Amino acid sequence: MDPKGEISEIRERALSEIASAQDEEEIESLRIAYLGREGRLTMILRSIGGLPENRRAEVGKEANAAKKAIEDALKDAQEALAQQPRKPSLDVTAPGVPVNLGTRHPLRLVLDEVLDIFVAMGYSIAEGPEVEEEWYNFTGLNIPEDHPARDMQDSYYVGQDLVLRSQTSPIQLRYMQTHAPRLPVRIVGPGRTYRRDTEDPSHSPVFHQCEALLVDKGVHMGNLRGTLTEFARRLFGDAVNVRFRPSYFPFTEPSAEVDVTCTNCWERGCSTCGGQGFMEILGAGMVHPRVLENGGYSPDDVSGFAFGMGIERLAMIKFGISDLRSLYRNDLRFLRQFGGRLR
Amino acid sequence: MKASYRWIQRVSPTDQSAEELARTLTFLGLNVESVTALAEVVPDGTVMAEILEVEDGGEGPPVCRIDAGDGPVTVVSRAPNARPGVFVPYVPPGSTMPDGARVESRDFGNVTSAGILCSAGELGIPGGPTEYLLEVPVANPGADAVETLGLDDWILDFDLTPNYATHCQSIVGIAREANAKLGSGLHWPTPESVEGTGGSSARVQILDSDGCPRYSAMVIEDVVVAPSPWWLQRDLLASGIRPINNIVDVTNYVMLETGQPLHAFDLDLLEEGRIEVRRATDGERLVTLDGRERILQPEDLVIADGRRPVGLAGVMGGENSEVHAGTQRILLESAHFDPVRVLKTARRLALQTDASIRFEKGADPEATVWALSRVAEILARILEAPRPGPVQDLYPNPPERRSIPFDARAINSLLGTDLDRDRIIGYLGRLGFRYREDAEAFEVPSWRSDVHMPVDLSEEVARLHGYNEIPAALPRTEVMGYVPDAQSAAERDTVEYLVAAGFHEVITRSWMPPGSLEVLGTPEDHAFRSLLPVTNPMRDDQSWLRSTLLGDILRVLREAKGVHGGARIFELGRVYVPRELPPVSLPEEPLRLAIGATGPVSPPHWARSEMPEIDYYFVKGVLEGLLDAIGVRDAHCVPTDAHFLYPGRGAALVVSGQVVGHFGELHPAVAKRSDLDETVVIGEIDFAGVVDAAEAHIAVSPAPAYPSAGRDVALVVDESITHREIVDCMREAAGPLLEEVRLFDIYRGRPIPADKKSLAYHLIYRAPDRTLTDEEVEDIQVDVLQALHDKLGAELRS
Ligand SMILES: [Zn+2]
Repeated sequence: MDPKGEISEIRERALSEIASAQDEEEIESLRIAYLGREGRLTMILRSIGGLPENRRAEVGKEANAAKKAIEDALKDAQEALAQQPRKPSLDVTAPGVPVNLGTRHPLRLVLDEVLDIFVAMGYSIAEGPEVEEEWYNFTGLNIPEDHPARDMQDSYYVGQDLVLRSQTSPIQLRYMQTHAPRLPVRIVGPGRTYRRDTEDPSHSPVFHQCEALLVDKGVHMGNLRGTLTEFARRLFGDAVNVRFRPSYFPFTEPSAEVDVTCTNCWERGCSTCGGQGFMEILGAGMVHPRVLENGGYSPDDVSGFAFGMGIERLAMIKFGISDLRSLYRNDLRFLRQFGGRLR
Repeated sequence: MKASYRWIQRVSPTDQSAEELARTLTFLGLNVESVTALAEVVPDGTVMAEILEVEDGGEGPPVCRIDAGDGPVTVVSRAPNARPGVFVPYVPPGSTMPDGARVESRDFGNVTSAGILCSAGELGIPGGPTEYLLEVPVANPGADAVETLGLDDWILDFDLTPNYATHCQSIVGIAREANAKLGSGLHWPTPESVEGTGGSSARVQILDSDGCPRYSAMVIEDVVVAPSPWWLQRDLLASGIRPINNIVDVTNYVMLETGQPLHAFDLDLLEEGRIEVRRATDGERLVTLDGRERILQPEDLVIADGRRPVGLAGVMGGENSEVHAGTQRILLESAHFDPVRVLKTARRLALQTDASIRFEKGADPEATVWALSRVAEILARILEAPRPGPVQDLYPNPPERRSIPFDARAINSLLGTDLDRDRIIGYLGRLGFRYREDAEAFEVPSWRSDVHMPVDLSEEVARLHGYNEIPAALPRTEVMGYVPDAQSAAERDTVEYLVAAGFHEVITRSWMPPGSLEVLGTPEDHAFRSLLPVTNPMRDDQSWLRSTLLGDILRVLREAKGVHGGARIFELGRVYVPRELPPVSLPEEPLRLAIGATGPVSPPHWARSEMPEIDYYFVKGVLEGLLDAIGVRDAHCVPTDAHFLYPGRGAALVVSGQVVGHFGELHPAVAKRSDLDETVVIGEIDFAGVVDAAEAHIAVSPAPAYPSAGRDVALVVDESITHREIVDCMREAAGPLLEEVRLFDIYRGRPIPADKKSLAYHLIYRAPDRTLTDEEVEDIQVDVLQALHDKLGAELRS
C-alpha cells in the first residue's frame, strides 16, 4: 500500500475516533493506539527509513503532519472533556439544610423596638423593682388614699405594705430622686406590672408596660404631642397620625389617651378598631406638680411629660394577635412565627 | 351613665347629630362608649289612635273602637288604661312587631280585631312598661307615632373618668360642657317656687354633720301614686332608667337632670314622722329597697326615723318607708353626703346605685334646694292637687368658695400655646369659673370638687381649646446618647446569641406554678422554698411569686412534646427572693437565665443521616459559647448533686470561683413527675453572677509567626480521673510552649479494663520566637507523659 495513502487513512480515522471519544480513558487508549510505542502512526514513522531516498522526505513530512494533527486533536478533546460537567444535576428545588434559628418572644420584639426608638431619641433606660413600696406606687404618684387602685380589689399586695407595682410609673419617682437636681431627666422604663384583672382576651394579671419621662425647663404639651407623633411614626410608619383625647390619671395633668391611625383600615373604620379608624395605644400627660415635687424637682422651675404604654397591646396591634393569652402560653408553634427579626 | 340625646339637646340646643355630639363630648374628655337608638325596631306604620269607646267583650277581651286617622277601627285590648279619650300607639295589620310576630286581623267571637294597641315595651323601647298602654293626653289620630312620642332619640352611654364624674353625671352637666365647646346655649331649669301651699313642715335633724354637711327636705301631702305621664317616662327611658311610679320617677328625673340624688319617703311610715341623720349602731339592721337585709356598722351613715333606720344615706332607701300605691304624704330628701363615707359603705356592701355613684365622686352641695324645688314643681304639674310644705334646709357650715390665681403665661407655657387672656377667660367662663378681676383669680364653681390647683385650670383650657389643636414640636433638650450598662447589654447579647443557637425565647408569668417545687423534688431547706407570698391572690395559682423559672420551663417543654423537631427554649426573667418573712423590706429580684432543650441537635434533613440528640455536652457547648460571647473567660463545670438533675449527669457552672447555676439531664423522678423524657436537658443560671464576671478588656497577642508542632497521645486512666485534671496536669508539666490541648476521643470497652477509660488528645506546641525543633517537643512530651503517669496514674494506650 502506498504509505501516503496509509498515513492519510490513519489520520482520518484517528481524527474521527478522537472526535467521538467519550472520556479520558478512551482518549488515552486512542493515543496509545496511534502514537504509542506500537501505535499505527509510530510504526509508519519507524518504517520511513526503509523507503527509497527520494520518498523519505515527502512521506516523513506527511507522517509528521498527521502526528501533529492527531496530537492536537487529542489535546483539544482532552480540554473539551475537562470543561464538560461530569457530576449529576441536582434537584435544586429540594429543601436546603436548615440553619437552626430560634426566635425572640413577640413581647421582646416589640419592647426592643420601642426601646430602640427612644434610645435613638436620647432617652436612657431605667428599671425599678416589681415589688414596690406603696409610696412609690401610689402616694408619691398623687394617687389618693381612697382611690380604687389602692384597693385590695385592684392591686396585688405582698405582706402588709408592699405592692406588686400596678404601673411602671414608680420608675419615674425612683429615677428623679436619684437624679435631682440634674436636668434633663429623660428615661424610658420597661417592666412587668400587675393588676387584679381576670384573664380574658385583652387582660392579663401580669403584663408589661414601658414608661417614658422627660423633665426639663420649659417642656410643654406641644412637646408631648411632637414626641408621641415621632414615636408612633417610627413604630407604625410615617403615614400614621396621632390623636389625643382628654383623660384622667392622678399623676399627670392635663392627661390624655393617645390614639394612632388604625393601620388595618387607614382611618376608614373597621372591625379591628371598632369602627373608630384609630387604635388607643397609650396614656400620657404633663407630669403633675406633686409628682415633680416628690421626685425632688420644683414645679415652678421645671415641667415634664410622661407616658406609658402596654407592650401586650402594641404586640397585638403590630402582629394582629386577637387573644393576649397566646402571648403567655408559649406554644412553640406560635412562637416559631416570630423569626426573621434578628437585628 | 346613660343620657338622652334629645334631652341634652333641649338644655343646650345644638344642631349636631347624636353621633357628632358624642364625638364632641369624647374629645372634651366625656368619653361616650356607645350611641344607640331609643327605638330602632318600632313597627312600620305605627300611628297614633284615639280610643273612642270601650265595650265589654263578654267572654273575650274588651273591645275598643278607635280612630287611627282613617275612620273607626275595632281592636281588642286587655290593658287597664284602655279608656275613651286617650291617645295610644296603634300598629295596623300587615306590620311586624319587634319580636318578629306579624300583625294580622284576628277574630274574637263575633268581633274582628284589626291591629294592636301597644305598650311602650311592645314598641321595642328597652325597659318600657308592658302592663299598660303607652298613652298621651293629646295627639292627632293617624300621626306618625315615632315623631309624636319622641322616639327618634339616641341613648348616649358615657364612661366617665373620675374628674368628670364629679360634675357630668347629669343632663345639665353634659349640656354645660356641650355649650362650652359649641356655644349652643344653656337652658338651665329654674323652677318656680311652689313651697308652702298648705303642706306640713318636715322635721329633720343632722346628728353627724361630717357625714352629712347639708340636708334639705320638704313634705308634700295629697299625692296620688300612679304611672308617670309619657313625656317623663320617655326622658327616663332614653336615659336608661325604668319608670316605676310618678313619685319615684320624678326624683329620678331630677337626679338625671341636675345630678342631685333625691329620695322620697312615705311620711306616714316614718315613726314619729321625723328624720335624723346619724351613724348606724353596730349590728343595726336595715332591709334596703332591693329586699336584702343589711347589717350595719358605725361608719355607715343612716337616715333614721324616730326609732330605726329607714335609709342608707346616699346609697339606697329602706323597704320600711318605701313609697307604695297607697302613699298619700311624702317626705322628699335632697341632701349632700361625704363622698368617702358613701364610697366606703357602698363598697363594703357591694351596693352601687345611681345615687352612690354620684355622691362618691363628689356632688354639688349647692344643688340640694334647687333640685328639691324642681321636684316640687314637676309634681305640682303632674298631680291633681298636691300640697307642698316649706323647704327645710339644714346647712350648718357652708364651705367657702375656692379661688385659684390666674396666670395666663403659666397656662400657655405648660400647654405650648399662645392664647390671649380673654380667650382663656372665655373658655373658663363658659364652664362656670368666674373671673375676679380684683383678685386676678378664678372662683371655682361649687360643682367642681375636682379643681384645686392652677394646673387644673390648664387642663380645662387645653380640652376646650382642643388637645389636637396644640402645635406638635419635638422638645429642645440637650441630647446625651445612652450607653447601656453591662447587664442590659449582656441581656440583649444573650437573647441574640441563644436565638442564633436555635433557642426560642419564652416569657411566662411571675407566679410560682402550683406544685412545681414538688415536681422538681425540691428539698425542704432549699432556697427555692423561700417564696414570696401574695397577700390577695385572685386564684390559687397566684399565691406565690416564683423563686425559679424551671417550673414554667418544664410546663412549656411538656406542652411542646408533640412538636416536630424537638424544643429548645430559654427565659430571661426575674425571680423574687424575700429578705425576711413575712416580707417587710423590698425583696431581691435577681435576673435568671433558664434553658430547656430536647430533640435532635439539628432539624432532620432528607440528605443527612439521622441527627444526634441533644445531650449534656450539646447544652454545655451552647453555654460555653454564650459565656464567650458576653466576655466571661473564667468559667468551668464541676459535678453537682442539684436535686432536679440526673445524678452524675449534670454540672454546677463555676464562674470566677462562684457557683452561678446548674444544668444537665433531667432527674428521672422529675422527668416522670413532669411527664418528660430523661433526655431533656435543663438549667438555670444567675444572670447577674455571670455578667459580673464578664471582662470588657480583651487581651490580644500577635498572630503566631512560627509554625506549631502537634503530637497525639492516647491515655488510659481510672474512670474517676476527669478531663480537667488531665489538662491541668499537662499544662503544668509542659509550661508555656503548650499552646492548646484538644480532646478528640473518649473510649471505653475492650481491650481497656472495665474501670478505666481511654482519652485521646491532640497537643499543639508553639514558641512565639522560633520554630520548635523535634527534639525540644519530644523532651516536653516526655515530661508531660511522666507527670500524667506520676500524678494521675495514666498509661499510654498501646
Ligand atoms: Zn381600622
